[in-house]
Amino acid sequence: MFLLLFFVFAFYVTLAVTFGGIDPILQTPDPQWNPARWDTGALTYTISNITHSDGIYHGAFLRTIGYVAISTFLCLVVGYPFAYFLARHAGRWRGLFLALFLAPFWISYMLRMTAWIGLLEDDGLVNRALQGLGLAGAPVGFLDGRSSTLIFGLVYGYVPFMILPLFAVLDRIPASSLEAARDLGASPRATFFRVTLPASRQGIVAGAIVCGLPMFGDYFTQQLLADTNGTRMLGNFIVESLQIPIFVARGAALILVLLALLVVPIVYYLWTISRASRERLA
Amino acid sequence: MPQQPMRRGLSRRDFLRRTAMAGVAMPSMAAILAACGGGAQETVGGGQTTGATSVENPYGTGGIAGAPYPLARLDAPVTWNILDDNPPIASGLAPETDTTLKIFNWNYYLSKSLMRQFGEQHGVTVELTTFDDMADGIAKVTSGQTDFDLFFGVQIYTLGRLIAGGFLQPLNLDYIPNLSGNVWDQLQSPFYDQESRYSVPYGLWDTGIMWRNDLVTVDIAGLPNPYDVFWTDAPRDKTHLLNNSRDLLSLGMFRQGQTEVNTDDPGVIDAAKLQVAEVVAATNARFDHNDYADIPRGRAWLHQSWSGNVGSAFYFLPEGDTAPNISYYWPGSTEGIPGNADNDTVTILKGARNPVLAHLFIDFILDTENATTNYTTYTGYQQPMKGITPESLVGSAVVPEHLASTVVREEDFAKAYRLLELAPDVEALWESAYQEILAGV
Repeated sequence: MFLLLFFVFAFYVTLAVTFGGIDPILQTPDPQWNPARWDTGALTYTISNITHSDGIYHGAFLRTIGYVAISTFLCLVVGYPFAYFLARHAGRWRGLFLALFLAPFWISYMLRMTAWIGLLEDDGLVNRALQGLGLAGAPVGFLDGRSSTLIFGLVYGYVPFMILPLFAVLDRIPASSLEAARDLGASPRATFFRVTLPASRQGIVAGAIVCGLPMFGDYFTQQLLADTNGTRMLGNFIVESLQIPIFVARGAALILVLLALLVVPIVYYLWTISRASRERLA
Repeated sequence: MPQQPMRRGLSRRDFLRRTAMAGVAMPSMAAILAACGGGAQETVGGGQTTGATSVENPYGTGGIAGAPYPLARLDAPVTWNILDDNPPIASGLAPETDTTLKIFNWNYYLSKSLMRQFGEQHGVTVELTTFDDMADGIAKVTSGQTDFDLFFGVQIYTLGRLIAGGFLQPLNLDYIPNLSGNVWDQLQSPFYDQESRYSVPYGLWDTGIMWRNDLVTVDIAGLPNPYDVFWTDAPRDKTHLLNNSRDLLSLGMFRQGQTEVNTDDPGVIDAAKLQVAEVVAATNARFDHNDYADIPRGRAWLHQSWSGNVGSAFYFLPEGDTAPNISYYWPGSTEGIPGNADNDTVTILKGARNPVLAHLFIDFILDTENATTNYTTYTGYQQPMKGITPESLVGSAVVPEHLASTVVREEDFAKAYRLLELAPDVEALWESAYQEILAGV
């Protein structure tokens, strides 16, 4: 029932809007519920503008994939050591460390990003620190539409979604497995790469999925931290299209394309879970 | 207002408030359409001739064709029909009592103290519900699931569809004497709603240039063509443009002296796109309407702006700061240079439960003193009141003298070019050009 209400129905509405029309008077989207009458113009337009190198969505499509891939990888780089520390070395303080780490994320995403604007602007704390330390002669334009600032924002915003599944998996690795490796003469490095890392693969995949998927639809981080044409993502075009009533179908078509794109990693994730379950039962 | 359907991403007022809390929106008629700007009307594409010839339509008389209802133009005004099943209320009715007057409005676009004051005067509760985007506002109003009495901030290019859709109630002007008494003569029976049958004017603004005069030292007001500053002296990474197709592309048109800012000519639209793209490429320009915050804080040095946003900028300054570093200029003030100014409206919804109170509230908000309070203490957007002039506001120290140009004069408004409702297929041309600019293609 939950799936029917919150996914199947919502998905069908998106389809009906994508393949629907425009109310002639109100000029608002006029969903077409009858598949026999669907107009595929918006979807064709969208796909064409993604696949052609001079299409309006082409650049944003490539940038989105690039930004998400890099940001997800960096989330893993940042999140894995922390999750490992929590699971293996924090002892009775793990709850405290986890709470302290998650505390900033109790604040809304928008406010946290807005705070970063204050920190990164020309006369912000970061620039003053860099100049005070002699590391920069003039203010660094962090907010002048830099990809690096956008990636930083994405990593900062989504890293908890990487840490939590990693922590859950790392915490479940039996200490006896690690001890057995060491007893067999494996070095700590070898133990990590031959036991811990493979055992945590499911957490890595889960973290990457949970962390990366929302990034694909993110637009707010770009708007606040790097709002120029050179960093525009697909999410930005979705939001902008949805705000123009006659272009809502294009926005909905972009959502469908994004959804189709995301089905691949989701299917992979489900496959890994299924395989892990079979291995446990075997 | 200020926040036209397309004038927005995150609502300006929403952003304003949230930032402060942080500490800081047929038929295919490629055949018709006349482009018009401040008075000049032309018929394009071999379609129906307009202008002196009225277009007969079930919803109203006048205007030009292009939609199921007439599209208003300055030289083709529209008189909306009053239908038998939707008459105005009778005169002389007593206001509703023991009730709640429900107002639907943009966020931060009506003084709360004025709502409270009206409620106390009539012994009723005034309840405000806000929206961040006109498309969302229309969706809610047309859903049939709401019972709002008043709909504030309805743009003149949204008015026609709401009237044609049967969602607005005709006004009985007997209850609104302040319209004829206090409002600019040119807006008492405006071209978009002759005889003010369904609306009265509310906020207004002109579209100009806001800048930090300590960081951009060019005498913009002294330039032969003030728009040139965006092409000649705009600072890289510190130049911002408005984030909607109409204002953005009309910038390129105005700069070239093109006044057909409601054109359906793809060539004109494309030329404007190329003009704006030059600015974007040279300055790495951003697109937003956060000038009220970004200019005072130095995040933006040069911004295409609405005059009303300059007023909002004072929220971001310390008490008593007269913003000496902030300047604003409306290029239409320069002889021979075209400029845009527009207004929005207040309407009463057809299903209003308190129609008398709603009329009285409109009259209340058209009181000069109340309108001044609304403008100077809350919205930053002025109303077209005869009693509100740059001199009266500067004289009362509400507006610093160097920003007196943010107060739109009646004579400037009269000569300004208007960004009016387009036929859907024409609007698609404008929006596509805008998206191409955003995409850098």
